[in-house]
Parts: sequence; structure tokens; C-alpha cells
Amino acid sequence: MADIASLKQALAVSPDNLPLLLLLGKAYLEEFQFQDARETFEKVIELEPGNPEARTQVAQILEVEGRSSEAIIRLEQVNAEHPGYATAWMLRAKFALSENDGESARECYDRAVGIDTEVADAELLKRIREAGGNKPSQEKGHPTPMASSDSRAGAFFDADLNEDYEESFDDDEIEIEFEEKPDADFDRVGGMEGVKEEIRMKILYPMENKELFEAYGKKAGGGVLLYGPPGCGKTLISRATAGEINAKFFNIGLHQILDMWIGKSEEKLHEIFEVARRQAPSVLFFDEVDALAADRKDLRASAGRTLINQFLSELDSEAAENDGVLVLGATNAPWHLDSAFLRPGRFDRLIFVPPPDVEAREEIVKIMADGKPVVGLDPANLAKRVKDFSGADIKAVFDQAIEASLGEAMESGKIVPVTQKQLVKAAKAVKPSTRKWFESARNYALYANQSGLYDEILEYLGINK
Amino acid sequence: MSELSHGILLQEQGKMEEAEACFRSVLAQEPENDFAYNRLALCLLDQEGKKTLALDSIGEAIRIQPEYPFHHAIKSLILASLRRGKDGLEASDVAIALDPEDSFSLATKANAYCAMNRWAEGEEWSRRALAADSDNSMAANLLTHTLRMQGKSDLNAIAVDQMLAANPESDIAHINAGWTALQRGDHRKAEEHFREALRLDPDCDHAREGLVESFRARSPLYRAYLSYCFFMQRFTGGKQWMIIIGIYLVYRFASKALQKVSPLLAGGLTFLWLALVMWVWLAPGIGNLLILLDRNARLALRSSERAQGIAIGGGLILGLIAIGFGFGFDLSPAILGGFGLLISTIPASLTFDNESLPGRIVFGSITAYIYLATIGTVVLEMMNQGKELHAAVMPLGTIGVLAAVICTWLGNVPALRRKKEI
Repeated sequence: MADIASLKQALAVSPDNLPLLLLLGKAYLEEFQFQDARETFEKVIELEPGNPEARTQVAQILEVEGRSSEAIIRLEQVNAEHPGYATAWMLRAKFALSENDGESARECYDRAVGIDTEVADAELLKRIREAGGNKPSQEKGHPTPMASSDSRAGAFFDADLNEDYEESFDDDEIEIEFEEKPDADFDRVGGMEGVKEEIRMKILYPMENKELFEAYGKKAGGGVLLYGPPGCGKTLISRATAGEINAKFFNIGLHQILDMWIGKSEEKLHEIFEVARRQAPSVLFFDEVDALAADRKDLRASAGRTLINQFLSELDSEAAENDGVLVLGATNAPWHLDSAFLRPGRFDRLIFVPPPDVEAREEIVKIMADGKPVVGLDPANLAKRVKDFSGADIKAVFDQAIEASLGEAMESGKIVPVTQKQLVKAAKAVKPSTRKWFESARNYALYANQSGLYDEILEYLGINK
Repeated sequence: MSELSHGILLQEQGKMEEAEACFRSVLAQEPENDFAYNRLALCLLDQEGKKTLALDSIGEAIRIQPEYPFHHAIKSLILASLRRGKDGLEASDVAIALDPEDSFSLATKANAYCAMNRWAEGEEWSRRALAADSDNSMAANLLTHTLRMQGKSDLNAIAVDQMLAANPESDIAHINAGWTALQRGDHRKAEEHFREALRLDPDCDHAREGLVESFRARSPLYRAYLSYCFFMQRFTGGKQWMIIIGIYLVYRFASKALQKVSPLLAGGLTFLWLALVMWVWLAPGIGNLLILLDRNARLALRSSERAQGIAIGGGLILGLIAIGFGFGFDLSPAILGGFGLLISTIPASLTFDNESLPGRIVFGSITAYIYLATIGTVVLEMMNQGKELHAAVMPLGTIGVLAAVICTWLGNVPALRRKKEI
């Protein structure tokens, strides 16, 4: 914000310059010079009687001065004359909240955010909810679909507002698949000993010996981020972690949260956390967490900031609230996470899940071969030949070999078994998908690793900086 | 967050393939959504070998919403990236006609001029775009680029400072600042800026290339080569040829004149000329070899650049050692082998880091021929045991030398140096 002296200087040259006057008014407000601020905004109104910004600011000043009734009347006038001015609706939401009228506050808040997502304020929304404004506005046309900051993008949605949006949330609407007792544990996950040990140290031991770890300033529970190339067992190891601690496992996919309606994604996320809290001890596993916890710098042209704020707010909930809830996030692009998520109390522990090691690959090979007409299989040999392959890549090897056998079977009209030779041939043809990931990861580890977050990637690649 | 919004997020995170899938899914449900087509086009534009598909996609967006200038502006960007600058200009003109004050459309016109190496017009239109919106980062980037290409160092320095002041967290601004520093000969400052650009966007290949260039520029000789490159960049292709031919004619004239005065001086001039010509071709490869010797800097090199460094730098050093050894101990196989290695460096400089597949095939074949001819010559000479040159040596050598000379001309054919944009 420009300083008052320089703004006054500029206004001396151009005394009727509205943008300058508005800036000066705001500068006064920042300095708590309410009288001067009000005079400046009144001058704007004098020059342009309908100016919504100046009128809203005056209403705000009146509220500060304790003249609430007058403030609300003025604000209502602005709302009536300029229904598309989001700031006035947001201010009205705050006024309603100060009157402890959660429902009205929520209605005004939704209306403001429906007009302009930039004004969304997760903290305010939380307070509104606490005041009873739990349900999104049900007025027809509200909540409005999420508009991108690109007004064109918003226009595309406006055409087909969902007229059926009438019901608010309840738990039953969130289709969360959760496992009462995951059938996986570390014994059932072949290989990956390094990752398991890291999980034991960072998650399991602190949970089992809470007091001991607390004595050393280490905490139990909270958030842990698993990162690594796609298809390398992040979900499996998360499920096994839940199995190890006998916790319920909630596998949350992006599709279960994302919703085109303003506020609804946030509601869903909140409900998911609430369900997990009720079902504690539980493990909440968020796949593709980089979409939910995206760097806000990447959200210039897309909506979703409020969802990010909501996620942060859920992670930050009082320790007691999240007690017994372990939040695991999985991503193949940790660098796209907003740095706020990596702060203490959130995803403050990172675990690198590399491509499966030779034991894990052998295990995967055995699983893939199970129930298929494979003869002469040498899992150990094949596992050595598929170095750097992800689980999905190994599946592709089997698919290719099976297709070759199927072709022969179609010709001969009888079952032709898959041989080790065919599998080896397919292993040569399939290129490991993890290579592309490591190309990118290497760059992040080399150039954007000031805090040493990605040292494990460098170690894995055998790079000594 | 809708699927479209999710696609936009993925796009801004640089996950183009996933974003493309998202936009296609949106279009499957809303086949007349021109905004989704527009976003899909931008996604395709950022992917290797999908520019023509991007053009199709933006064509659909224009069909649905022909009055929207943004679609035409994106079309201009795509055409310029396909090296169809003239068509790009036309598309920009349509966008500007629809909204004369739209800064983005004005910037795409500047971009189209840049695609044709018409730097002065590029500068003019980027200034117009900035006049319409001083926060237009694309226009600011184009302005610094055009100023640098025209050698307007002072103006460029101001523009870069403004760009950095406006957004110190912009990788593009740091890349521009890096190139400006390199143009000034300040390779340390350039390295700082490129490192910062890579910190901000580690996947940015432009920043990595700049960093490699700043490492190479640690050598004064390489900086001299860079100055020559910056000088030549100011001109369009035709003028560049005129300058090269002009310098050659001056050399020929001076050489003839010196022959009459002092044959020794004329010989010296010829040596200098050949060294200069060789240096122009070999400088990047030798620069890469020097980078390879630095354990930290070498991490910035691509595998093709490493190979280039070894083939050229290694060929040059081994060649010179072999020639020196051969003359010292009167060993003709060593002398011939050394010359063979020296000659091989010319086609090798056009092989490893060449974007064009036909180029890699042509120059790679010539390099392979010279290696084989060199090995053959050395073996024949060793078998010859000090007698006169083997009958096969002369034709093998002559073909190799001629092929290397031809490479210096073929190396200027764009189709053999740049990848075909599709």
C-alpha cells in the first residue's frame, strides 16, 4: 500500500482521481485514522454517488464506530444496488456473524464466494460453521458453481446451473470406502524393507510408545507424506501401515472430494475428516494429494484455494480432535505441494517410496503369475531383469507375454502356456515408466533442494553433490 | 472444483498429459465447450509432437466462438511455434481486430515477429502490449528478448531490471537476466540467475541450457565465441550469410595480399582462419568437456552433451597428442590417426546434440566413416612399416577431409539442425 504522504502529493495534482482517493482511504484505514478515511470515502461518493467500494468501506467504518444498525442499512443498500459486488456480501457475512447469526452469515458468505472465489476466507467459514452456518446456501442459483479467476471459465458454468442442488450434506452422501481392518500388514508386503523401517521409525514406534517419544519432543500421529514414482506401492504400504496399527483405513480418491459447486468440496473434505475422527483410530489416506494441497502459486487461473485452506484447517485442528487419526498423503509430485503443508503439524514427515526392490519385484512377479498358465517361471531371474520397473510396469510385462500366448492359442485352438522366455522378451520390450519420473525428480533434487527434502532421491540415483 | 478446474490445475502444475485427459473428458460431456478446446490446445502445444493437434483443437474453439480474441491469439502462438510466423501474424491481427486493447493478443503479434527473427517489429509490438497492460509478463519477456537480439544492451538491462523488480519469483525474468549477463560477459552473474531460475522451475530446460552456457563461458575463449554468436543473432538468416561470406572474402583478400609481402605471415593468417573456423564448430563441445571436469557442473549436462564433450574434446586432445607424438618420434600412423581424430570433431560437433533426426543420421554417418577410415589408415600404416603411404590411405583421407568440409556447409541447413515441429 502506498504511503499516505505520497498519495496526498499525487492527489494535490489530481484531486478528483477516484482510484487515488480510494487508495488514500484504505491507507487511512490501515493506520486506524477512521475519521480521515471516512471523509475520503465520502468524497468518492460525492464524486460518484453509486461507488460500491467507497460505500462498503463507509459501512465498515460505521460498524467500527459502533453504529451497527446504520452500517447494516447502508450495506443492504449496496447489496441491493450492486448484487454482483462480492466484498459487500462478505462484509455483510461478517456483520451477521458478529450478531451470531450463522445461517445468514453463511448465505452472504456463499453469495460472496459465488461471485468471486478470491474473497473466500477459510478461517471465516470455520467461524461461521461454528456459529451454526453449517449448510451451504440453498437459495436457487446458490451456491454458484465454482468460477475460475478467468471470467470466461466462469461463464461456461453459468449456463447450466444445477437446479437440483437442494440438499445439504450428511455423512451418508459421502461415499467413502473404508476398511474396518485392512487385510494387509508389513508381512504381506514383499521387500521394501527400507520404506517399512522408515515407517516404523516415523509412524509406528511413536504411536506405540507415545510417551517415550514425547519425552524426546517427538510426536505421534499427524501427517506423513509418501512420495515416489507412480505405481510403486504407496497405497499398498499405506494400507499395510493401517493394518500394523489395527486402524480403520480410509482410502480417499480425488473424485470423492472434488465437486463443481462452491463450498461443496470443502464440506466433503470436512465430513471425511469428521468421519475419520469418529472412527479413530484411523488412517486417512489421500491419493494424489498434490491436487488437494496444490501450491497456491499454481492456482492463478483455477479455483481451489478455499479447498486448500480447508485442508490446512483440518490438518491444524486441535490435537485432541485429530488424536488417533493418522493422515497419509501420497504424491508423485511433492514439489507441487504448497509449502504450508510441509510445516510442523501437517505433512511434516516425508517418506520416499522408490521403485520396488528385487525382493518386492519377485513378490509382484509371483502375484502376477498366480492363476495364469505360466510354465517354467523363475521369479528371481525375472525380478532381476525388471530393474526400476514399477508394479504397473511388471503388470504390462505379463500382459504383453499373455497377449503373445493368446495369439498362439487362437491359432492352435488350445491353451498355450506363457513361458519364462516370453516374459523375458516382454521385459525387454517394456520400458520402465519410472525413468521419466526420475528425470524430473532429479532436477528438483538438484536445483530446488535447499532444505534437503529430496536428498533420498539423490541417494537413490547415486549422485553425490 | 470441477473437472475443468482440475484440468487447469494440472496444466499449471505442468502435468500436461493428465490435464489433456481431463479436458478431453470435459469435451466428451460438453462437445461445444470452446474454453475446454482452448485449454486443450495449450496443453497440446506444450507437448512434444502435438502442435498440429493443438492447431486442430484451437480451430474447434474458433468454430464454436469465432468472436473471442483469446482463441485467435492462442492460434497465433501455435502457428509461431510451428515456425509459421506469417500465419501467426494473421491470427494475431484477427485477435487484435476483435479487441484492439487486448494486451495478450498484442503480445502474440510480437511473438510471431520473433518467430521470423524480425526483432525490431517484435520490440515495437511487445511495447504496445506492455502499454496496454504493464503486468503482461509475456510481453515483458519478449521485449527483453528482442532488445537482446538487437544488441540494445542498455535498454535491455533496464527492461530486465524492471521485470525482476515486478516479479523476483519469475523464472522467465531470471532466465532473461542470465542471458543479459552472459551478453555482458558476466558469467558468474549469469550462473546465479540461471540457478535461481532452476530453483523456481527445476524442469525448465531453457534455464538448464543457460546454466550450461554460463559454465562454458568460464573460459575466455568460449566467451569470445559467445560474443560472436550474440553478434550474429542480431541478423536474419540472409544477412548472416552475407556477413560470413564477407568475412571469408576479406580473409582471402588479406591472405593474397600477404603472400606478396611475407608468405610466413600469410601462412599464419591461414592458420588463424582455420583455427577460428574450427573454434566456431567445436566451442560448445570443448566447453562441455571442460564442464565434465567439474564434478558439480557436470550434473547439469544431458547425456548427449556429455557424449559431445567426450567426442569433441577428447578427439581434439588425443588428436593433438598423437600428432605431436608422431612428429616427435617420426611415426606416420600416429600422425595420420591424430589428423583423423581432429577431422572427426567437425561432424561429431553436429551429431550428438543435434535436434534433427535426419541431421543426426547424416552427420553421425560421416563421423562414423571418419572414425573407421582413421582406424583403417592407422592399421594400414602400421602394416606398411615405414614404407611409402599405402595406396588406400590417400583416397580414404581425402574423402574424410572433404566430408568434414561439406559438414561445415551442411551444418547451416536448418532442416539438418532443428527438429521438425509437428
